[in-house]
Amino acid sequence: MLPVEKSGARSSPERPEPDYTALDSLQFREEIQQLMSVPPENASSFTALLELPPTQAMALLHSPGTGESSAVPASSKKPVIEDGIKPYPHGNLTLPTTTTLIEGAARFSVFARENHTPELSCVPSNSSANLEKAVKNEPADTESYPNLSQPLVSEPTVGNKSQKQSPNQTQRSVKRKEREKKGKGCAKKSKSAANEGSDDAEKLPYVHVRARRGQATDSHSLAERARREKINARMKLLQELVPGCNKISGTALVLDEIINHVQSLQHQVEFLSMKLAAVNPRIDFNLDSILTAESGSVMDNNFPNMVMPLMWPEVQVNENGLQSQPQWHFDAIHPPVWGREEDSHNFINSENSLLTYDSSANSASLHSNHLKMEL
Amino acid sequence: MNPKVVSKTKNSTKIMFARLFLQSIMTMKKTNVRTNSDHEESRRRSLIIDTAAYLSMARVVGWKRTWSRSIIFKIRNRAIRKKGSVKKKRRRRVGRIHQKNRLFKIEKLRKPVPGGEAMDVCGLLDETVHYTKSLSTQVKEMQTIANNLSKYTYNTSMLSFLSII
Repeated sequence: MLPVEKSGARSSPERPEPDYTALDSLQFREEIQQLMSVPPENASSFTALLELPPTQAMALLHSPGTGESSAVPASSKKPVIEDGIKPYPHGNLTLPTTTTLIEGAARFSVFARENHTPELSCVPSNSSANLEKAVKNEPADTESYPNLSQPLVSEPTVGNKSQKQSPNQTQRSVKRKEREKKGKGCAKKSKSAANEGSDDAEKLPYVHVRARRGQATDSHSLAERARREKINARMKLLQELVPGCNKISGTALVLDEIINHVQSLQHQVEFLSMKLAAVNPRIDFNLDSILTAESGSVMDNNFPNMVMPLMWPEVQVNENGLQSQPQWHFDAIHPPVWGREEDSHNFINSENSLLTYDSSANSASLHSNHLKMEL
Repeated sequence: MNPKVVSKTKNSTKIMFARLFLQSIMTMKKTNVRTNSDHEESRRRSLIIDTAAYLSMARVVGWKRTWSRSIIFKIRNRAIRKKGSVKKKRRRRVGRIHQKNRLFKIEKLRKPVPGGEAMDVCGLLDETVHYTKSLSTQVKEMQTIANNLSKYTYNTSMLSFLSII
C-alpha cells in the first residue's frame, strides 16, 4: 500500500481545486488524483485506521472480488458529497436520489476499468479513507470549504448507523475532533467524548471504513470495530478517573492500576466500617438524640421528600469548634462513660492497620481531613 | 454536560448516600443481638456497617446499574460476606495471543466489580467506571461521617466526663 501511495503523490504533487458543481467524469478523475495525493504519512495512518496488519490489508487490497464490489459504494459516495454541499450547513440530511447514485456508480466503474492494476486496487480499498482525508484536508489547507467534512460524517449511504446522526452541533463537534485528529497525524480518535451523541457520531468514520471494505467482513468486523472503540473509550475514562494513571502507558498496566485502585477503595470502605463500628455504641446514643432533636427543620428546608431526617449537616455544625487531635489521647486514657475500652483500642489498631495495607492516598486524605477539621 | 448539573447531582448523591447509610445503620441496629465476646461484637458490627455502606451505595445508584443490582441481590440473599457462597461458572473468553495479557487483566477485573462475572468486556469496563466513581464518593462520605461522629462523641463524652467530675 505504501509504494502505491507514494507514486500517487508523485504523480500529482499539487492538489487541484475541484469544481463541485460540475458532475462530469473528469471531476472524478481529479478527485481520485486528489486521493492519490494524500501525503505518505497518512498512508501509515490508513493502516492504523483499518487496524489491520499491513499484510492483511494488502491481501484485502489485491483480492479482485473486494475491489470490484467496493468500487460501487465508493463511487456512490461522490454524488452525496456534491449534493450535500448546499444543504449541509443547515444541518439537513438529504438523501441522494438513486439516479445520481447509479450515474456515479456507472462512471466510477468505467473509470475504475480504465486504469488498471495498482490504482484500481488502491482506490477501492482506501477509497473511503482517502475520500475522508482528502475532503477533510481541504478545509484545513484552504479554509474555503469548512463544511465539507460534515457531509462525510452524516453521509446517508453508510447504512443503518447514519440514522443516529442528527443535529448540527454534533456534526460540528465531530468536525472539530476530526481536525484535532488530523493535527495529530494519527488516525486515532479522541475518545474522551463525554456525551453519547458525539460518541456515536465519532464512530461513524470507522464504520465507513468497514462498510467499504467488502461485504464478506461486513457485519462482524463492524461490530468488532465498534466494540474495540467502546473499550478504548472506557479505558480512557478509567484512566482519567484513577489518580496517577495518566502517565502509565500500556493497557495491562493501566488495568493493573485500576484493579489496585478499586481494591484499595474497597479496603478503605472496610476500614471505615471498622472505624465506625468502633464509634458505633456511641452512635446509638448520638443518633437517637440527633434524630429526636432535629427531625423537622432540615427536612423541611432542604429535602421535602425525605423520610428520615438528615443528621449530616448538623454534626458538621456541632463540632466546628473542636479539635480532633486530643480526642485520641482522651479516649485512650479515659474510657468513655459507657465503658468501651475495646472500642477505642480497636479504633487505634485499625488506624495503625490502615497504614500497613493501604496506599499513601488514604492516610494523606485522612490527614487532610484532620487538618481541615482543625482549621 | 453542564458542570453545574454534574456538581448538583454529585452533591445530591452524597447526601442521599449519607442519609441511606445512616438509615440502614439504624435499621440494622434495631435488630441488634448482643454476643458474648467484645471482639466478636465489634467484628460483627463492622460487618454490619460495611454491608450497610454497600447497600446504601447501591440504593443511591438504583437499579440502572448491574453492579448495584448485584449488590442488592447479594445482600438480600445474605451472601455478601460468606466465603462459600455459590459461584457461577463463567465462560472464559479465549482471546488471540497478543491480546491475551490484556484480556487476562480484564478477567482479573471481574472479581472486585460486583456483578462482573457475567458481563462482556465493554460492559465490565463501563460498570467499573461507574463503580469506581461511586466507591470513591462513598469513601469520602464515610470518612467524613467517621470523623464527625468521633468528634461528636468526643464532645458528648467530654461533657459527661465533666459532669462526672
